Order: sequence, then structure tokens, then C-alpha cells
Amino acid sequence: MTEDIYTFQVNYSQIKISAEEVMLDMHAGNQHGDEALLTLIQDQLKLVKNLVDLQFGFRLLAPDSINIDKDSIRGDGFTFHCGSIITKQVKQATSLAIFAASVGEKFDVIIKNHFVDADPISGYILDTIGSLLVEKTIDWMEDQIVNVIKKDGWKITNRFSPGYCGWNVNEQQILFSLLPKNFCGISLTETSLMVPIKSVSGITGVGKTVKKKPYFCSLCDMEQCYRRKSILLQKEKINSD
Amino acid sequence: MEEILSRLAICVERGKSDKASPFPPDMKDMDGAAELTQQLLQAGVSPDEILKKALMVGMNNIGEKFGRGEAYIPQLLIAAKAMNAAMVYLKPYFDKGEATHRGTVILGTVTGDLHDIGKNIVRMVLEGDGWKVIDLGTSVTTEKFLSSLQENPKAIVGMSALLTTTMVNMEKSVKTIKEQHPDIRIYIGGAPVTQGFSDKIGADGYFPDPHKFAKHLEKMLS
Repeated sequence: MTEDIYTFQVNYSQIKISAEEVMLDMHAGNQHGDEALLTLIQDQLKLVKNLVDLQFGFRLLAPDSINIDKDSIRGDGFTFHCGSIITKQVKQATSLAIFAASVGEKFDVIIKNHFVDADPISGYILDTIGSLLVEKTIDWMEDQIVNVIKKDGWKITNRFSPGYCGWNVNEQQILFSLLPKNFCGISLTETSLMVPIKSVSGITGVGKTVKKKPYFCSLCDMEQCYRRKSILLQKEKINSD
Repeated sequence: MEEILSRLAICVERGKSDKASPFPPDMKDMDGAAELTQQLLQAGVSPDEILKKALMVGMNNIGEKFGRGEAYIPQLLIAAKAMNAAMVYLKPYFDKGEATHRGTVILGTVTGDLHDIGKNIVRMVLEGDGWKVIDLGTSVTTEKFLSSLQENPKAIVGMSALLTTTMVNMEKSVKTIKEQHPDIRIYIGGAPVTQGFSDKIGADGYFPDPHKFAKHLEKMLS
């Protein structure tokens, strides 16, 4: 494995999203208005392919280029103070993939316009679709990282992002300093907000003995984390169906 | 008239915007919020009565279901869309001062933050509950909040933030506004915000969802 930067343009048809998935992500359940909502979601899904500009990319650091201690990950010229929840999960890693993905800027504009035009439900549906698309793009990206590294017998850990699992969102600044400028069309504000908003960034541990775990929210104590809420609500829904 | 007011409330609660709307299926081809509002106005029912006896009742019913976990944000927004379809016909009366709102709420996402979905949902719910909402948008500076307060001195302020890096800007805004307008009530919301944070920065409260915020504002008036 050698250090390199990879970027990909993804066709919308490669990222499949169903109306039911959107419904589940909106925590809409089997409640009154379901049929109306499903139809509205289907209508929006038909429009999405003309709105998205799906891009993702990652930088693979050189093998054996990082040191991990209790609370931080150090590499050549950078330190991620990501906290012990993350370092525990990546402690076997000897390298990192630093990644970012975005659905493109058109999406943000259309969502905003729906709220201005008094069509909040369409705006909310598109907002949910945008979040799902970018997460699914990252799922797809993980497969691409594995494709690049598996010939050397390397594997990946779960992915972690600034703002989650106790990692301060300010460290987006460090993360993006390790990627080319305007990587995947993403820029950072002074407050470490990614623009376009429907973007994701983070790290994945890489190594020969690392493991990806199916569920790891129990390791983190962030009660207000939307990802934790989302997973718990989905579990509740599955149990109630 | 009572029967039409009651039907209008149901249209809002169930999200039947107009006759052409195919949803909900059991109300297909029936008059929706737009048609019923026009009928009530033509029959001489005052915009205030339409707002209070029908639109707010419908929004309150869906809000109660939301509070009990029987409805979710999409259902709130579908109801808000129906409410908006009716408000198109009432707006001229509010503009002329012939109908009145419960009060004014100034909303904005704080400096440095561009997230506005949560704030927009709060706006829809409050409008549906009879409040005039002045939406200042995203990345709103303290000066912009103050300027809006100068034009609306009795308004309530609502601030939102989605990032831990931007929620700190709430503290600056709350402090400055309270220094200049100690009687103004300021409420905060957003994913990283808690009641503890609200207490710490001197805000008047935190609400995890728009319905709880609307209920609190309603209680304040009574």
C-alpha cells in the first residue's frame, strides 16, 4: 500500500435509495398520512437525479505513518485530538484513510427554496434524502478503500467524523488541511461547517489486524447525537413492526 | 358555519390542502383548506375566527399527536402546508390589521451556522399556532437580532444552532441582547443544545421540539 489520493464521481443510479428508507429515516412510522407521505417521497426521489453531483474521495496515508495514544492520533505534521472512544476503536491501525463526500451545492439551494416557497414537507423530504445519499456514498466509498488495500491484506475500521464520539468538530480544520483545497467541492467555514451542508468527512483506521464493528454507539456517551437517536428509533420501529 | 370550521380544522390536521390534493385518500375530491377558507370568508366569518376556531385547532390537534408520539415531523409539515394553503386567503386581512397574531417571534440560526431545517420547522409550527414569525435566516449576527428587536420591541427571540462550534455564539448574542433588553425572552434550540446550556448562558429556556416551544409560548399568554 502506498500513500495516494483518490477521487470519484458517483452516478446517482449507483446509490439506490427507496422511499421506505427515506420514510424510516424521517421516523415517520406507520402513522396517519403514510400513503400521502410515501407518494411525496417517491415524487422527490424522481427529481433527485437532476439535483445531485455525488463526489467522494480519500487520502490513504503511508503504512506505519501514525502513532495512536490514549486520546490522540499523530501523523506527519498533524495530531487529531479525537478522544479515547475513537482511539480505542482504531488502536490496531497503522495508517488512516482521510475521506470526504458531498452531494453538491444544488441540493442546499433547492431545500432552502422549498421552505421559502411554503412547501416545507418537500424541503424536509429532500433534506432527509440528501443526508441518506451522502451516508450511502460513504458506504460505497468504504468498498472502494477496501478494493485499493485488500491486495496487501489490509482492512478498515469503522469510520469516525469530527463532531461525533467526542471528537471536537473544530478538528475539521486539521482534517481538511490534509486534503487538497476544495476537495470534492467542499469548503470549510471558520466555524468548521462544511459547505455544501450535505457533506461528510472523517477518518477510517487501516491495518492488517483491524476490525469493523456492526454497532458502536454504545461506546459513546453523547446523548444528543442525532446518529444515536436515529439508530435507536430505527431499532424501536423494527421491534414494533 | 360551525360545521365548516370543524371541517377546516380536520383538513389542516390531516393535511388536505385543496380539492385537487389526492391526500388523504378518504378525503379525495372533497374541499380542502383553501376552498373552505374562501367559503368561510365569503359567508362573513372573520379571519380571526377562522384562525382561532379552525386553523389553530387543526394545528393544535396534530401537535398534540406529535407530543404523544402518534405523529412525526412529516405529519406536522403536511399539516403546516395545508395551513399555508388557508393562510394565503387570510394574509391580506393580517396585512391590513383586520386580524391579529398572538404575538411576534423573531427566529434565526446564530452566527457562523448555516443549518436551518430545524428553525424552518419551528417557524411553520409557530405560524400555524397563530404567531407572526420574523425569520432572519441563517448566520444571524447579534446586531441583526437587535435591529429586528428595535422594529418589534415586544417580540420573543428564538435562536438555533446545530454545531458545538456555533452554539457558543448563542452565548454572545444572548448576553448582548439581555444587556440592552433585559425583559426580552430568548429561547434556544438545536441538536447540541441542552437546558443546562440554556441556564449557563442566561437564556429563558430550551425546547427539544417545536410543539413544546409552541405550548410554552401559549402558556405564557394565558
